[in-house]
Amino acid sequence: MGVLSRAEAQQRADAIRNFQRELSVLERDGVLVLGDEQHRSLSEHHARLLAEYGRLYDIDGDARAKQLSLGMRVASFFGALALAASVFFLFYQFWGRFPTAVQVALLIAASLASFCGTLWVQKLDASGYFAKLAAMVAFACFVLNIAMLGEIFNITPSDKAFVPWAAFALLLAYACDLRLLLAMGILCLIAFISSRAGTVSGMYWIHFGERPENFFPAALALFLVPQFVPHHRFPDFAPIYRVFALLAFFLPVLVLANWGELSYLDREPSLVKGFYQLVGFAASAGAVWLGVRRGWPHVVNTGVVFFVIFLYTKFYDWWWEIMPKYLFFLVLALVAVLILFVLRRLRGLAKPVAEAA
Amino acid sequence: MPWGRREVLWAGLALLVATNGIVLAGALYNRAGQPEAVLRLSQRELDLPWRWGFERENSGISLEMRWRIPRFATSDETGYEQGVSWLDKAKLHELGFDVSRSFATVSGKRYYAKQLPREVFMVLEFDAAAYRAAVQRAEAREKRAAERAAANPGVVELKRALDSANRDLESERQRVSRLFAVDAGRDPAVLREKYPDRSHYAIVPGLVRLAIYRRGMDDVPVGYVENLSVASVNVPARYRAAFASAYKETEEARPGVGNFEVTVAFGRRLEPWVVDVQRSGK
Repeated sequence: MGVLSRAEAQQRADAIRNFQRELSVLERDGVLVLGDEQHRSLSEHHARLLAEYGRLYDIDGDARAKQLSLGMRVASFFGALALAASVFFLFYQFWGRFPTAVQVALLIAASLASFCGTLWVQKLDASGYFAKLAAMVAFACFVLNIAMLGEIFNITPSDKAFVPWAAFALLLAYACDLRLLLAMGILCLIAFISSRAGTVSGMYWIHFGERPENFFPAALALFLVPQFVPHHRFPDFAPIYRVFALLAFFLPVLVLANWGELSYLDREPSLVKGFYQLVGFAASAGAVWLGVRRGWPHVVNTGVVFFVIFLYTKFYDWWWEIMPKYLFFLVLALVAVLILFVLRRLRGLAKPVAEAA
Repeated sequence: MPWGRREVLWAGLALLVATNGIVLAGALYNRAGQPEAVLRLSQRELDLPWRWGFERENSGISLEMRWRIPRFATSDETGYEQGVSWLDKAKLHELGFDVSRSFATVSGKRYYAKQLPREVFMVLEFDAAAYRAAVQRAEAREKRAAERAAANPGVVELKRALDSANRDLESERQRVSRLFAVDAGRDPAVLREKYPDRSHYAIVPGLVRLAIYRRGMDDVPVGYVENLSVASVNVPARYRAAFASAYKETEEARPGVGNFEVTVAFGRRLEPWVVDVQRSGK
């Protein structure tokens, strides 16, 4: 199988190192002993692969490198956000002094140059950290570009702007294998689909957040993306789609479970709250079940987190005022222990499924 | 099949160029040909930005349109809690709000409370009947206050009421906005037929919200103009000098009345732009 992306190269390199460790244990225990020729051939093959991956994809060589690379990811994430903010404020500081034609030319040139610059940086930087910085700046430049054209020409605000922003962020994400840009693209898609869902009722699009149900179609669409679009080259992307889909579903449900009057449902707010509390419990439990069944740990974790949040908010409603605080927190602790038992049992059930798969 | 670097480059460039092209073509279309309306507004109708927080670093100038709504003929209140006089049940229905349910029942009130703002076309009237009515109302109030004060000399409250009425009248004549939202509809062409004077009436997209107001013993549907879709107008760099000394740091530092006149045109897409700025010298 040819390696296509950095994530796949990293996975393969990790598998090779695990294999080498296990092989040395097996040889020490005398379970499996390779001949000298086989040993040499295998070692050379692995060394060649690791060297090639290191050269092409700048993968992490060992556990220490992995820890450092986590730090680099965090640094590049904050650096990317800060650099994007810097670009915005730089333009903000001076744009009013330029004639309209210069403003427009600067905005378009910044978008084009930062995009081309991102592809150039990506070509030079196999690790992807600097490409992430450049891509975030390119995305910020394009958002600024369209937003400021709207400001300069007094254009009526439109949710359609989210479409090219989403397309651009997704293009950068897939071209440079960047999860941060994928998240930006997904957020733009959520905003667009939700605002379109809201306008069906006739409301002005910018108010889409006032009816949390508007987010449900976006949640469903995002959850289905990895099902219909294969992501073999981008193994980290499918979890991001699913986690954002779950957030786009559970956060509105959580809001509706506490403020029923925000719902489209034309019923007593207390009834609506009760309904969404049930939906919250059932759906988060369903997410845990689905995650265990399909081997999606991110779905399991998100489901557990929201199940606990739904449970604790109900406990707060019921008992915070009437219970002594030591008893209230004791109940929470006991529930946490109960959840641990349930999850342990689910883990036990998951093993046969995984083995069967 | 995954894209190579070249395909990504061309796709990205195409996206950037196409998006900018569409936005700029829309702006050009808006400004092509004769403007839909042209209003000569002053500082009474256009508010300078406040310079605090992040705005301190904003080198651009956007003038916010200050618009008002006509009061109910019977109202002497300063607030607009009664809603807009012309946004009655029939008009709200015409604008797309479902007002068929009873306002008296709990479920009816709940239904109306859930209604969110709709974008409609608003008629902005500048320095015409609604403004004259506002001045006449202030004059009548001042006259009534003067008569009462004259009939009861030495009554401190009446003297204060007269002073307040005088200030209101002076403000109405000299300071406050002459721009009124006087009508709304779903078809700008129909509104233009009804208000053909393009130098006093502009049609712009804006937001209307439905609410319930208790008038006497009855709950009645009332409409509010929430905002204009384009609430401010950007000032091109060539006109910056006219506003350089007029930035507002505090309420007290507001520049005097009539410091500038700004000619604002509204185009085919009903979007405004500044076509001229004159310092009035006052």
